[in-house]
Amino acid sequence: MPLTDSDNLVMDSIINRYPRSRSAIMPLLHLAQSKDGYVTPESIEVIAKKLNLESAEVSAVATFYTQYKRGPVGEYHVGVCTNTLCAIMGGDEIFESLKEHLGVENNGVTQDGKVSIEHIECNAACDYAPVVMANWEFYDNQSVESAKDLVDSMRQGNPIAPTRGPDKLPTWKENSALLAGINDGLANQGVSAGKPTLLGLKIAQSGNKKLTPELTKSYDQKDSFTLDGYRRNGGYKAIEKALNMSPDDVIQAVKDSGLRGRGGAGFPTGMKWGFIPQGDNKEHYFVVNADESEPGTCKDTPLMLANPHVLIEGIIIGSYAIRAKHAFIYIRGEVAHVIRRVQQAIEDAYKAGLLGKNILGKGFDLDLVLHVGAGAYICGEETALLDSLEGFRGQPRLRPPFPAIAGLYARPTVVNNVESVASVPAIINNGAQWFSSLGTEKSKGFTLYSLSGHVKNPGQFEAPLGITLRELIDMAGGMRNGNKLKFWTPGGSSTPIFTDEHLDIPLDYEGVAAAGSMLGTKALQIFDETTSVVRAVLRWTEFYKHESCGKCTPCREGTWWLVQILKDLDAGKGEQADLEKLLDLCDNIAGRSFCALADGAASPIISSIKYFREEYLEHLRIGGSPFSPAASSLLTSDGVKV
Amino acid sequence: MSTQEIATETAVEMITLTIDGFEVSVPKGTLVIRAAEKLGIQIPRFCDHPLLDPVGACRQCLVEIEVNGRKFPKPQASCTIPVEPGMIVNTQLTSAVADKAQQGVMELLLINHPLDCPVCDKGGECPLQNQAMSNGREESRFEGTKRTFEKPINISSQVLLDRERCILCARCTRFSEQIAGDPFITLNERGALQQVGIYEKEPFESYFSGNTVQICPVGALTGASYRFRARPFDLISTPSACEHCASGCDMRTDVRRGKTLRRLAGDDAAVNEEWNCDKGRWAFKYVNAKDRITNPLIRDESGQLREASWPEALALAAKGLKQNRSAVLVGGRATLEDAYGYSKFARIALNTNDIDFRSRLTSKEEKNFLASHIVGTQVSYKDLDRADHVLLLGFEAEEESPIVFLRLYKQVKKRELKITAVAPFASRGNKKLKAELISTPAGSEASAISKISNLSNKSVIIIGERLSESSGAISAAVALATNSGAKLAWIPRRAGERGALEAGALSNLLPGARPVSDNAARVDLQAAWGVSSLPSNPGLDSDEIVKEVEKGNIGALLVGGVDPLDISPDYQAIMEKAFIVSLEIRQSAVTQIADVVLPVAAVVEKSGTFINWESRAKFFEAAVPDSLTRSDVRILSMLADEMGSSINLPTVSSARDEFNSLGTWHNRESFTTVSGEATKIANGKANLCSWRLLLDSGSMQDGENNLAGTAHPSVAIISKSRADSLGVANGDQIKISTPRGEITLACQIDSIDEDSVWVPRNSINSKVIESLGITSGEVSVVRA
Repeated sequence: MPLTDSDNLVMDSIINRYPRSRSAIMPLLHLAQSKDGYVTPESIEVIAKKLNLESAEVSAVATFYTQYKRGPVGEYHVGVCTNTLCAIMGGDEIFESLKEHLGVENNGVTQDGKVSIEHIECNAACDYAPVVMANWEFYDNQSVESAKDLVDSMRQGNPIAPTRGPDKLPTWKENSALLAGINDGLANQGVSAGKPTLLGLKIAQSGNKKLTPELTKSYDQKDSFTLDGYRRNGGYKAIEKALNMSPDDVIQAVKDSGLRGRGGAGFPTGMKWGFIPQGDNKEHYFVVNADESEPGTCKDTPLMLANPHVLIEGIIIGSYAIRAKHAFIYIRGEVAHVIRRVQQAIEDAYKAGLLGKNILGKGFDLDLVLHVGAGAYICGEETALLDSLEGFRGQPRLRPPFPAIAGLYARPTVVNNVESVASVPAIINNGAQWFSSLGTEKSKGFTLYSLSGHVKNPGQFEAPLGITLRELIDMAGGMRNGNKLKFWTPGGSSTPIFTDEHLDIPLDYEGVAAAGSMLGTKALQIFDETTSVVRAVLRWTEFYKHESCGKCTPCREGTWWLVQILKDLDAGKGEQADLEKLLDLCDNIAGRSFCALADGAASPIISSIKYFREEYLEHLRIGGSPFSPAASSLLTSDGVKV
Repeated sequence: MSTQEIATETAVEMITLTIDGFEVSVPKGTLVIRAAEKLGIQIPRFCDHPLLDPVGACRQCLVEIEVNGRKFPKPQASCTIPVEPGMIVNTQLTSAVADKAQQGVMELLLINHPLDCPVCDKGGECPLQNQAMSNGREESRFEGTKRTFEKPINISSQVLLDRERCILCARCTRFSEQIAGDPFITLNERGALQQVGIYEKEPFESYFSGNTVQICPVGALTGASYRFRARPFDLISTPSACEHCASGCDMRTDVRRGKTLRRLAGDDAAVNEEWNCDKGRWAFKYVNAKDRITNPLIRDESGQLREASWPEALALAAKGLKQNRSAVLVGGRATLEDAYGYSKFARIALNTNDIDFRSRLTSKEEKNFLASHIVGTQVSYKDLDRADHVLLLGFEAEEESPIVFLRLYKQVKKRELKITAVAPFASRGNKKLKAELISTPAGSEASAISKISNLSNKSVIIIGERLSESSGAISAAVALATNSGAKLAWIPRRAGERGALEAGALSNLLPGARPVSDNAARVDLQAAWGVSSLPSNPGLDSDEIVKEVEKGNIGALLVGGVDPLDISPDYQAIMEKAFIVSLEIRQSAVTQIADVVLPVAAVVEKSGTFINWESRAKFFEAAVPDSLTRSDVRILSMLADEMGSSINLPTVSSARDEFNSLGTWHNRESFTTVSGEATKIANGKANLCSWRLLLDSGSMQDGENNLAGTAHPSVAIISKSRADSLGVANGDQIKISTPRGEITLACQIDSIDEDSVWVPRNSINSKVIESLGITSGEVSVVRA
């Protein structure tokens, strides 16, 4: 990109956001895309020179992430989610028909340069399936017809507006500038939340006592995401309280509340904060993991869309507690409007003196930087996130040392999930007791359950830990068409599947673990009897193969092989011994890899064979799948709409 | 290790653990995989390398570990776990879980690995082959499709990459980044398509790229010059010492039927660890150059060189040397034994102290310094490891002693060792070392050095051979060392210079640090040599010798590996006046004018010793043992016999034994301070500065085009203001000239001292001495 003086100014301002300049690689690559539409060799050289790196180091980063493109994309880049849930619900049909309609293949661009298309992984909107993204804006609840209408409208130069986004669809280059951190002023446009996001709140408001909306309580207000809206709902009271406590007392309060990490691992949050050595004369960092990419997980994204300030308030309190002067939100790059909202909220918080120097006059300084990812599920792993934030390829690190001792820039760091941090203001406001009185003995408090798939009404439910799936499906209006529940994931695709045997298991950490799975991110993907298990597992395995960072042998080579075997099994090729081979491979992969991604890859395979071995064998017997994709799709005439 | 050293090592805490039922005690911090090796237990591994930070990426080294009665729920990568007291480790030998896990990883590594063994260079010495046999399944269960890449691709002219073979251990990218500071290769893409790659426009031109070929555990990285040439069982390997620079690298030379096919870095933890530079690794083809001299030559009446028999040639040489006042120019590439031969020959057969090993620009100040402060002393790599501050004077580490560079870089990375360089601009090597630059134009070093005051007695001052070109600079350095207590190290560019110094191939020094002017020392040597007298007047230096030849006072020269163009473009013409006996391996500027040429052995064909800049001796056997050529010392011994003044050194080992028996003298010449004068440059002129790049037009790099392809391009470095006044931009051609001649090069704009212009001293299109007649000083610079 030929650099003008203003380009240099913009690049410098991006670099100056970070304590170390290398961290600016990712936003600078987004910036390059905003100018040229993709990452050109020239832009790699320019960035390398600016950051005093070799070009090879920059291209190493640029080639790691899916969102950085090697060639021109259309003015409107359309992503159709074909991860398992969306694919089954109709994503596969939408993708096939769009390819045909546009006359291009995956990653192809139409002749007029207007539209390009690719199939994408889970975009954290599962309760809106089938999901299509355009320039990383949401197009929820798509059908074959609506998708065709969308791309047609793009080619006519008057694209249909996003369902949860700005009034007008920005171009690829415009949104790339947004991802580079350049506020386009459109954050106030668009809804706070869609129908599925409001589902639990509405049910609670109509009197259902099983639900406890706290984080979601303001979602149905048009301006819930603004500073005024947040204040009006009682926001930014907790920091007044917290900043009048000692930092150690804040940590103790969070410990006493029993809050456990909501990002999947369930590690006690207060304990994690307590691990930061104090009085060490080193910078501490508070990092929020907003890289929500686990298939089925769609709780943090709508939270940041509708209520970004509760996250910011939690960050201020958490940073104060661990004595950090610098906080980062690492957000996935594929959610443009969410990025817009969070960026605007941060700026508004600065203006209101809630961030920056001498917050509330208490002598506490805090800088908060929104760091935008570029498409890599592995960056949701905390050490890979830190490496990515530092400007390296997002590959996990050796532990020890643990991030509490040597995390970001080798300094003591806390990495927490969005929901964990967002839960803190309520804990400070209402007291640790209030929080710990909810939930179960070891899994305290309330949490966001995301229900998606073959239920009548998918959506978000905020409830105390320990609720059962039966209760949740009931609230969601039951299974669609009265179909039977066949299998489901408690915590995203990485957790072993459950069947209808497990409808009454309390959905807390211990209950789910005792039944042989993990609560994870409470991403309840529900599949009915029309669904092919093998097809679902194959698609999840393809996801893991796509997202494998490549660092370690079992995951990198293992997923490559697992996909090939599953493809054959789905097509009915092979014999029973192949199932044993598959399981043996999983035994050599799970627990042998560098990080838990490979464990997540093996989970669906092992658990699906455990519960549905006969179905696998049926594929082999008939030489194909006994299921028709149309039956499990939302889009067929049997379904809700076409 | 001396008693002194042992006493000052801090006590190391030992930890005892059990591996496969056997107890072993190792220092705290030892990794489990290393501890197992101490017991002779080999846990299979790929990404692990003792000199690289652990990554735990390949997962091949999985073992079961129990600490404090608690077993880890999953097998652990033994290359990432430091030992703990009472730890119980079960490897594949005693744990079925570990064995299955390892076999599983091996099977997975092989699913995408191509069956290239029949055509892969690594076959026969391949860790993947070996460990697949020892720790893998007999058969693979993979029936799918492998990922394929176009193969091979050049990542530089000398390194080829077969991406299919790569097992992503990342040893190469980690080495390049951690050890060499040259992250020109990186991992690209993600998942199963992850691959090592360069940025297309910037090939892997690191001086240390060859090490990645050596540490690659498969045949993914291969040397272009060795590809398809041989199998390991064809080769006879001999430990050797590198003959290029003075770093002192341990090497392994692999020879087949008398020809060197490749060289690898050897393992010497105290010197080069397991690394070498690309020049040391690949520049060996000169030995078999077409102009290799295999028979004695004499110049006949018609002025042509013709082959002669040894008796005839020796007789003629002896006659010529005896009939004239003779002097000896040794050159900087002799082994210790050969240099000792020249040294003894000069004193006994020629009765002169007119001998100099320095085939380059020199000064009396330098000679005085070498005899007073360097000969017989030791400074080591360990001193660099421990220094608090290292000062580089007239020395470019990466170009002139790559292993010193690696050593410094290691400390810079580990503990931010402070490096200061007095130089006209910050070279890439110095930038990597984060060196503080004291920007100094050539000729003004003395004044710059005299202003330095922040060294301590833990500091090391490194003086390069180039400091001799700046009058007063060495004196200033000596004063600085005296005031601060810092150690003084002298690092010449050539492998033979230190040995020649110790052997007394210098006009003011006899072997074993004996000053010529010290009567007692002379008498002592006389006794050892069994002669009644030795010449007592200090002799002439190389430039003085040539002057005397010009005047007709010296009529004969005995010349070793010398290139007159290393000193002056006029020397060849002047030297022709003398009767020259040349001991050479190839045709050269000296053989062109010689009267007698006696062929000598190349380093690979003889045994010998090189002494590196530390004063560490490294002995090597001939890698090509049945060569018909002979070491210089043996030929000199025959020549001395012919002249009737025997030096009695009929073999290399006799020379070494005799030298060793002499011991080191206790007295040194005193040092006389010389004052410096800054170079005055006329208005509108520039101050030329130059040094040799590691890869350039040096004759020992002949014949290896792949290596030459990675040489840094020849550019002239100028400041922005000069570029503006010349009206040139980066890359434009500029012309640098003296009354004698000119050089035209593309310019590169950098932060260089305002008055200076830097060019490479001996590169393509930049033969400074030949074209300009000077190496520093006033030049004109115009746009070309």
